[in-house]
Amino acid sequence: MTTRTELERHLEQHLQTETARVNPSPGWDLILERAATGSELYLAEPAPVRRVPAFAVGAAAAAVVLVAIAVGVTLNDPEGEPVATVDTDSSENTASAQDGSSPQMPNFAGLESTVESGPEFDEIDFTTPLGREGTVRLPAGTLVPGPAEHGWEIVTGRPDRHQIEILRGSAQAWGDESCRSGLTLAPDTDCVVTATPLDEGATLYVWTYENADPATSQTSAIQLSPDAFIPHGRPFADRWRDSVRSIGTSPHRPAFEFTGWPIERTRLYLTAPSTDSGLLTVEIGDTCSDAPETRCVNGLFVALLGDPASSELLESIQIVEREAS
Amino acid sequence: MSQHDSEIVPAGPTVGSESPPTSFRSAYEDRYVALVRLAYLLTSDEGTAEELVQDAFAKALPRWPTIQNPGAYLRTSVVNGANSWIRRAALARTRAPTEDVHTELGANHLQDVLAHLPERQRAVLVLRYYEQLEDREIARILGCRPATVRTSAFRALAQLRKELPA
Repeated sequence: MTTRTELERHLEQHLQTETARVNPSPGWDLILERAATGSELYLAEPAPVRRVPAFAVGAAAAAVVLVAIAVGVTLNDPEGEPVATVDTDSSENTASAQDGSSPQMPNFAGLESTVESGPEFDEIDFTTPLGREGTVRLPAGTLVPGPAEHGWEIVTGRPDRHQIEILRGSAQAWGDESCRSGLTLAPDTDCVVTATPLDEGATLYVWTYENADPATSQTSAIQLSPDAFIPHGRPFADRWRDSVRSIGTSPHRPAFEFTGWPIERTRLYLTAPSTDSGLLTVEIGDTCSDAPETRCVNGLFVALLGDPASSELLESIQIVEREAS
Repeated sequence: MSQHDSEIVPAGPTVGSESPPTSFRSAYEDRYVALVRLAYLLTSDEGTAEELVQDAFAKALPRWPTIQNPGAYLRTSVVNGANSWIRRAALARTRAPTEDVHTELGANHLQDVLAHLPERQRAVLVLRYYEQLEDREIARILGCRPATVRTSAFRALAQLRKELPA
């Protein structure tokens, strides 16, 4: 034990005094009831993002496939305008198209709520009952919070086998007071990233590395169109498009930065380029070496957009754990 | 690792049956109050603290036989739950700004200052000076590096010095 300063000793004493009066009565029966029913506790403050019922998850998953079809059109719209926006307040779990056509983008509200779940991936309130059978229905590429010692876990879709592999340790805290979450993309892979929540005016940075080796690789020219940046639940506007700036040319600089993110969840569509040498690693965080702010992204959700033809993704998928290599 | 962790030994029959494992009941009786106090320091709300701890136990029960270190698992679950609650509460406040009840200096000013620290800094102080955990263990719980813990503690203490009367 290191020597405590006067302030530290005062703090220790205060914490002990402050908690001494807290003497709750254990409610054993209540625990058993909650464990048996799987009921979610209602906490004093409502969650900013509602959870979706189980039946809606299928719709959301289906929408993921639709995105795989739609995203190319959306991101490459010659007019530079999105064809759809996401309405978080809608009772529907799909977005409404601006031109009145059929919905093309999913509302990931249910998926986003998973980032606020507990330390175990099977506690995700995604389907019911969670934490029992170990079976959930997730789109490929869902990034879920794992046990703290493993950080985030990426769910990689294996539609041919109807299973998901949990890749441990795929994200990590990165340096003092910084925090990035990352994933590895296969070439020509689309993904959608949702970060939450950042303060108004915060800046988010995106790093990309080839072959998951930031020390030796060059920053890859990941295809990131300003048009791909769609603030969650808000109409796409010039201010957001202008906020996207490419600044990175070396592995030690972020490839892109975004400023003025809304406090609500924001999503970003990325497309990994074709590479001859394998995988591309993308990291996202809200700080970089020369950034004064040091907050972490509180939650990050990433969904790889699977092959539209792989409708098997919509089937229930068995989660299997794989030991960290 | 805290001294509490070694007191809980994972064992017991298959979870999901009518009666929970004896070790689960023991862990509950041994750790419930301590975890509520921990959650209270993180949330500054006693009712929420109890909810968080009950939630952690309820979610741990189905997986109890597979949990290798129940004490650490439960503590991590409570800290994560508290952080989630703090974020939701902060977001709710931004949507419906209300009178800030913490602005006035009072007898419990230190607790007020703690409550206004960023969630990570607050968690670091509580885990270090209440739970008496090593920085490495705190880093594991918070999912960051030990260096980040040290930096967070330094900044949090600096904030306390700034806010508290000399």
